[in-house]
Amino acid sequence: MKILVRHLLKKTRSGGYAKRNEEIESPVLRFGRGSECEVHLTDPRILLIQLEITERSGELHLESQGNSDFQVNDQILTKSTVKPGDEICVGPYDIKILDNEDDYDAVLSIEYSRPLGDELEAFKKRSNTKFDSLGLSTRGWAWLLFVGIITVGVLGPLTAYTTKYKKSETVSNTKKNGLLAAADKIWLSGPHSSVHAHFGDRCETCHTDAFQQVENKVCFDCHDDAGHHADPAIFPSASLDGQQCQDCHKEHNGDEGLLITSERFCSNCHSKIQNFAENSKLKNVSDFDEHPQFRPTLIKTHQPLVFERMTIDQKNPKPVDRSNLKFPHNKHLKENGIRHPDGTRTVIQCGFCHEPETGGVAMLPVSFEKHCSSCHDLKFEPQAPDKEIPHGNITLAKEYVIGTYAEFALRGNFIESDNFKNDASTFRKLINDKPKTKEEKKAALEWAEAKTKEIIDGRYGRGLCGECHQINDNVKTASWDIATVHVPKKWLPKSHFNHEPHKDRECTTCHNAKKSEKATDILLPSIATCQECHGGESTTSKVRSTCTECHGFHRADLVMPKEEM
Amino acid sequence: MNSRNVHESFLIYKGLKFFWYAIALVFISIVLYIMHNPLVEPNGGSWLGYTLGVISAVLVLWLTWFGIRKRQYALSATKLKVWLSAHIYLGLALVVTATLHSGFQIGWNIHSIAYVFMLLTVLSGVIGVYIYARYPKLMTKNRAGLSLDEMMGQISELDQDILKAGQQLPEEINTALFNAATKTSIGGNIIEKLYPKNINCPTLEARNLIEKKFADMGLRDQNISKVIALLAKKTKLLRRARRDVQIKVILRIWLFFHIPLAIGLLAALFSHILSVFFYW
Repeated sequence: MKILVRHLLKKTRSGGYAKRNEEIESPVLRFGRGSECEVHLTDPRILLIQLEITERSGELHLESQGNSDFQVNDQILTKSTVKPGDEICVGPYDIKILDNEDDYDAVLSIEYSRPLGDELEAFKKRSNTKFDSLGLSTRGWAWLLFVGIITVGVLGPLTAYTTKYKKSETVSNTKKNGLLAAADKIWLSGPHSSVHAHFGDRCETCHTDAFQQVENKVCFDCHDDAGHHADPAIFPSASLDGQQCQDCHKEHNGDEGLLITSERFCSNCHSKIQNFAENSKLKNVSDFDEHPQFRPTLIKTHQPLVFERMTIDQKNPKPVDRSNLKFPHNKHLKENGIRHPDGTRTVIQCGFCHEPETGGVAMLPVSFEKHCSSCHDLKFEPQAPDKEIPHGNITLAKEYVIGTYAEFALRGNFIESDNFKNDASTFRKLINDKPKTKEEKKAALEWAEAKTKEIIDGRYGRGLCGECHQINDNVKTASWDIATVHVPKKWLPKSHFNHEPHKDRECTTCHNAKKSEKATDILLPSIATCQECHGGESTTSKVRSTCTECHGFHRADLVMPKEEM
Repeated sequence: MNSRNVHESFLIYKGLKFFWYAIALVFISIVLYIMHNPLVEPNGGSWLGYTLGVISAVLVLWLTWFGIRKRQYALSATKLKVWLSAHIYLGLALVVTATLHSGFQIGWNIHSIAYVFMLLTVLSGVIGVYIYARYPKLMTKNRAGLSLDEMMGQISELDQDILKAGQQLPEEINTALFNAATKTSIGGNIIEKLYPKNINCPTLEARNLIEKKFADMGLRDQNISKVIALLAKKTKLLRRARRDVQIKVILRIWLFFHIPLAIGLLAALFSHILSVFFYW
């Protein structure tokens, strides 16, 4: 088989081809990359032997080798017979069967139509070596974050602020509170104090106007009893005029910031109080460990009512409680008990008389009826065993006694003892008969009055009252009266004390009542007793107790004028 | 001496001048914070809180200004180095002033968002400093005088040689070599750029194939040994080219965090200041 192969090379400018003719004589025409092939195709996409052409009875027979195939006139085939004019496509090569020329068995042209191209360009095109985005450009990410944060941090809260009902508007509980009502919560700088937590997301409760500090009047809406610390007329340096509540009360710091409990806050002035308030009679104090002795407020004189503060451990004169009562605590607290009128003995504890009020802060007042009368009855007449002098008012008591005897006088049935000094002949009759005549009645009343005077001034009157009460004689009226009882509600009115947390201790741990013989004894403990358990701010071994544990700052009796706030 | 000045790092500029400024700022802030001891627990609303807040806010604005300053090419490069040195050390000092300003009060609010953005921005900046202190040297070393373009050109030339040398070799090798020449690439998606070792590289596959399966043929066939040598050369070049891309990405990727975080910080800082005075 003699074949002419025309290699069509580069296209010329005129559109034709530069050609190279190759004459091949071989029984078989092999196309492939291998050097043994008659037609050598250099493209790496071509197999070593890709295609074989043989001549069979005048026809050209094509057969692909390996797993390859070829196309004849766009038909994909592995075997085929071709005739002049057919176009065969083998990989990147186009083979065209031409008309026979001269003595060749076949003439064909080969064109390398689809070369690999510019490898470097292709390589660069495949490779992505640039880096200018991470999903978005830096600028894109920056904008995204900027807009996102401004939306959450400014636009949302502003929407909440502008759509919320203002304080002046009435909001029913069922009404929804504006658009994005809670969006301004993100502005909260810290947790509310628990006492203000119920305001929730209603920032406008206190923050009434934008860009304006919370004003005092907002606080006074609720806290209208917050008074001055000291009378500003006497102690101008302690005046709160011109101060803002929030100067000291820092909200949005949880419960920590709202109330200042630090000792320094007080001791800044109170450690040398005279430097700040010349007229102050207060003792200096800087720490609970150095707290001055208690100085209870005591009655100095009853008429006129004058109080004085005295240190409880003062020796001469000793501080006394001028309550006008007589009461020996020691007798009532005897360990083997006290004798009851019915002959039995009863051991009584402090709590028998001193009952804590609800909440346990202070003690309820002692009441005669509740705490004394079961032993101390106020009976005055054996022939009227169910009658007792009413307690609490001497005038009523006297009327009650005279009423009792007047009843006897009018009804009779009273057996007079022999030593009664009144006119015996008159009342002898009374005991048998009811008085009938005017004279008889008058005599009966006189008897009753005499009898009353005898009782009131005697053992069951003045004697009985005087056991517990101070008796005042009235020279002008030749009568006597019970001195007004004055039991202080607070011995230390500038402090507050809560019995409740101390209830696990015996009362006598602090109150030396078992040894108290007189009601004039001051049974308050000494500061040293408190200091056994309580220490100052820096204590490491005791209960940490700063000033605010017992003392308030604002005095309710010195309320600030609100219109000035 | 002259050349040393040229290469003076931004970190040790002028004998650590700004390092000492930053240390002074940090020291003063900490001392004031300890001495301050307010009556209620420390917070941004005390006089020291406001002072540290103003300092921190001014620092943030000034640090962000660096993004604009560095684009002002007309101004001299030396001055930019001053700015960079100050940017780094004062940026680190900001962490301390802002933390003390917060009084360590952190919550789910815009104030803490600003704080966290500040921390993240500084952290990304610290990573950037580390990267800029380490990678330019590695890049120069890796390039060894060649640009990426030149490396790619060489790789492409090698491909031609390899294909030529492989023409007479068995199909399996030829296919592998062809794939190696036509499908090998540099870079790719962000993961492939950062972790080039994970790329399925046709060139490496071809090399492995030949070395494993046809190595003994190489003793007899000159073409095979030539291909093996050429492939080794190509893999080496590929590794360097990919490392070059990797370093370029590393040198830039921290900015994809640093800059948006800084802008986010600006937004959060604005919201923080606005909210504080809005609900005063």
